[in-house]
Amino acid sequence: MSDQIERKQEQRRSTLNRRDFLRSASALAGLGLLAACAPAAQPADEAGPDAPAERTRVRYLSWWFEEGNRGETWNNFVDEFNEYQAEIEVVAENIPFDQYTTKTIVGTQSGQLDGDIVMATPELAPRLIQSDLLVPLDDVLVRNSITDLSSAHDALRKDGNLYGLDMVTVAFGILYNKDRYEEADITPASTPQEWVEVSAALTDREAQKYGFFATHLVSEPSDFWFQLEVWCMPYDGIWAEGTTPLLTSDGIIQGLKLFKQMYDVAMPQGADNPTGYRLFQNGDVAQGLYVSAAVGAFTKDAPDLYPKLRSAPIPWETNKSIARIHPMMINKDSEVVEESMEFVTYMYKPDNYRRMVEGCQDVIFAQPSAARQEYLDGLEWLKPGYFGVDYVTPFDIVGDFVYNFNEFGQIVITNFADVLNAGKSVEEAMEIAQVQAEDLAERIS
Amino acid sequence: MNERVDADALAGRSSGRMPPPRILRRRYLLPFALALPIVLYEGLLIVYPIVQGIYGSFTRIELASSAATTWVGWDNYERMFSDPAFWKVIRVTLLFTALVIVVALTVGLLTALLFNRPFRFRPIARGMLMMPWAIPEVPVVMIFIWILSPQFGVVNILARMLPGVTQNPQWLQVPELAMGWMVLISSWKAFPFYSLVILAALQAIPQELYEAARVDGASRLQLFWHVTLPGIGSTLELLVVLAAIFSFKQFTIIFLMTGGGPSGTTETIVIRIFNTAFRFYDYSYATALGVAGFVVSLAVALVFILMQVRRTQESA
Amino acid sequence: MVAQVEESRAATSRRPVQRLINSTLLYLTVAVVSLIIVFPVYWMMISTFQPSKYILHFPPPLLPQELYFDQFAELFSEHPIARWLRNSFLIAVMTMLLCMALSVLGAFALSNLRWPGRNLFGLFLLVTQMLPEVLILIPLYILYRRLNMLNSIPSLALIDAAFILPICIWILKGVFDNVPAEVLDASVVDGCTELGALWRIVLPLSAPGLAAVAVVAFFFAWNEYLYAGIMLSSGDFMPASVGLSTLKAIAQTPVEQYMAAGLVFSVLPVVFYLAMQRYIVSGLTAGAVKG
Repeated sequence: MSDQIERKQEQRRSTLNRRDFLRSASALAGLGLLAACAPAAQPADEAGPDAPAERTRVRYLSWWFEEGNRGETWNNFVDEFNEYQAEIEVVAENIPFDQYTTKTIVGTQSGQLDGDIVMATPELAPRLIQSDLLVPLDDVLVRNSITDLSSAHDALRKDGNLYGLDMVTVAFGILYNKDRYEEADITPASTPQEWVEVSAALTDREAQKYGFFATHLVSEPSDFWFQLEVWCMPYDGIWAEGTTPLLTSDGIIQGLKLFKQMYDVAMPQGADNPTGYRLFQNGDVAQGLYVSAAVGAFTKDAPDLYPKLRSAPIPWETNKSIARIHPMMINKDSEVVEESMEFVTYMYKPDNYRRMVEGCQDVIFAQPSAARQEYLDGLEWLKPGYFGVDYVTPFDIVGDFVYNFNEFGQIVITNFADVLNAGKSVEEAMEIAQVQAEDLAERIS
Repeated sequence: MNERVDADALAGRSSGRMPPPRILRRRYLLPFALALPIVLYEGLLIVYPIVQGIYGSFTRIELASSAATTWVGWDNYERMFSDPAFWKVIRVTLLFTALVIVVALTVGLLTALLFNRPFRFRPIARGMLMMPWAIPEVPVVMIFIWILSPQFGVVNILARMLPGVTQNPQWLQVPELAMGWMVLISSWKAFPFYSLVILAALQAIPQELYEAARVDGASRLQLFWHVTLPGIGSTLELLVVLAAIFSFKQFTIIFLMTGGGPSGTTETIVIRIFNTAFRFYDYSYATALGVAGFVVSLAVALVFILMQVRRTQESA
Repeated sequence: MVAQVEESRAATSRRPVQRLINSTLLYLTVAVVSLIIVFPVYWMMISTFQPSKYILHFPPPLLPQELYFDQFAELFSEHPIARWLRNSFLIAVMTMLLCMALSVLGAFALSNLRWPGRNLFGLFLLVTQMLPEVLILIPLYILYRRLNMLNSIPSLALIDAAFILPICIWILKGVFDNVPAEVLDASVVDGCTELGALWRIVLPLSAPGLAAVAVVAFFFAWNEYLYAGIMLSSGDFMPASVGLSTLKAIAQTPVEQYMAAGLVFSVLPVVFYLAMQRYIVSGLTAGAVKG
């Protein structure tokens, strides 16, 4: 990992570091100096207009500016846009993913979102749209003459207006390490039961080799639920319809039993997400349910592993998987709506949009006509697991609970964790979960 | 004989410490002038938001939604009292708080007694003893998640030495173990502070008391019981309150290590409040939970203040 | 001191053999206790300074097999660690200074002066500590937005200080309690005002107590990340606590680099503590009684 050359590209940032380092060293020089420092840090805050800069500042908030190739791509686009025109200066502000939701919610409650351009998660997006805090973005489509916007955007409309433009769609697929399959002389599974067998064959607990990893700790509730959500697919179930939870339905029970089987025969039990990820990097875990957006990150984090990655066909008949869209939105209370719109328009120009998706190594194009065949063909892991799959959205499988996605998920994972660790049966656990989910439904309807 | 030691100790303490100088009692303006800026400052940044929170608990506020805030009276409280999850959370919180108070203060007291004895390298040993206090919580969590990892955790080497253990235990997935570790880790992080304060109190006990007691032929245990303990009594009282408040509010360690699981066995009220407000958007119910917690800790504080008042009156 | 007396007594009344056993036991206990306390810190070091192949292995070797330092260079070149640390430092120092100044006033009123509102004031301070910080996040955020105080390091320090000040006052009160009443009385008789007595008598006697307050306040602000993340959105102001949670959120951060970040983040408070250590113990002590 250390011998990566790509890091050299970070010149821009590292010069900044040296300067910062000197600054902090001088800050350390003494408390006296500090008193002088304090007002200097008081800053230039969001009150843009009275800043002497001739450019209008647009604050763009997201969680991904520190995130490997995605961060790099976005930082480069921000720079590119700032050079491309002379009136607007887009400023990228990174907020850790952990805090992003909290911060956004605090903002909405105070009646005003922070930032001019904001990114949203699939869970946050419907709530922000409901709260009337956003500017319609239909104009961006008109300006760029886009006519083939993906239907996933239907979920981002309200009263006919479009409030978000997808900047990354993540889709679940089964990613595996080709070497491990070859060593064990295995071919990808075509049914759920075969999938368990394949995973078991790849596991040797004594040697610390595991066939499969999925997040399964309640201390990582978002990741756990985010992944568990997929397990309604193998037996074509859904978690809820409208406000009716279906946790004791056959599809769900079967799906969860499948997870439990995988857990028993193939998973590093009790491993947290980073550990699972590292085991996969090392080749100690052979396969995992990975979202397409995470695969590109391996080029940087595990350059040795990346060429060995392949996707397995979805091993269930329906060939369905979940896709989640992360839209870019504009704050209604921003004082620079028009300038923000400029940047969003710039990013959604088909050519720029394509370069952005390719830079992030994403594979699902919200503007299908922007996709370039040569790029897709160059990705060895794309087919078959992330291609030609029938995608559904969280709306399709959790119904109205999409507005209370986390709370619904918490009910499922808390009870399901009892199946994994406390020896409860799936039926028993989901019986309880169903009652709790019905209570929730009653409260929110 | 014992009574005599006891009396001496009490007399020594009260004459050596508390009563404020008579002359300072005359002027009343100064203390108000000193306290006022603090009251205003805390009032604006803490009390005013608390009052808003209490008000919020009588409304229905759903975060990130267009629904208007409505007055609902005692609804949130009714829901809370009929919610079995609430009572479980309260039980867990009280258990966790009590255990941390006992463990952290016991360890703090024992280490303070130990490190109050002279031995070579004492300054170095003391410095090391305080290390956990200086390390911020997030790194503490990082270390312990790593130590307890069922795959690579070093603690498993010890566990495997026990008879009958052939697999690495899932330390944080078994209810009793998870609670145990939360208490241990929180105590590990917190005890040095208590130890320091107790150490300071120990050194403030006048030596004459020990000598007098010894002349009377008191044993070590008697010395501890009749001289040391009364000498640090008021300090211990304050520490119990502080430990109660700190552990009651402990968030980072539990949230990042167990998230309240398994089966809610480590879900303290703060975790519940955070989840309810910021993950489930149910802000007004979260404030009602907060007020419930507030009332419980207020009761603890009142007991403490009453003890202080009684003590002051005794000595006056 | 307690033990000294005991030891000297032991020397006269017991045989040397028993003394030897006693001191061996003492050292043994100290060693075992220290080992348990320090082990997690040691393990953090081990995980930081070795290539990950040794730590991603079970059973992990208990002693370092090979030292490796590139992770620090990588960490510093990939993330603006220096800026994060500088911001944390500024926040912590401002919080510390504010707490030191205000806690002297508060503790003097609470400890050395007798006035009708005293107990109420003490209770008031405790009460401010009783609502979990998460709950006042939203009201405070709204307040700060109205006052246009978001996104500023000094404003965050104001919040941090408000949270920890009451504890600081209570700690300092304990120290001020130890200033003998007679000394204060005498000074006032000599024509000193109360504030003069605070300045000339109480403070010099309790200076080390202030060191304890400084450390408590510094640690708190250094640690805090919930408010830091919400109130400061500009990356320019991001402190290390928030930065570290950024690294945590990026699952790909290599173990040793992640641990290195934790270590870097812990170094300053540990050094600060060690520098103040001498004062703290005596500070919390009634050094004043003898002085």
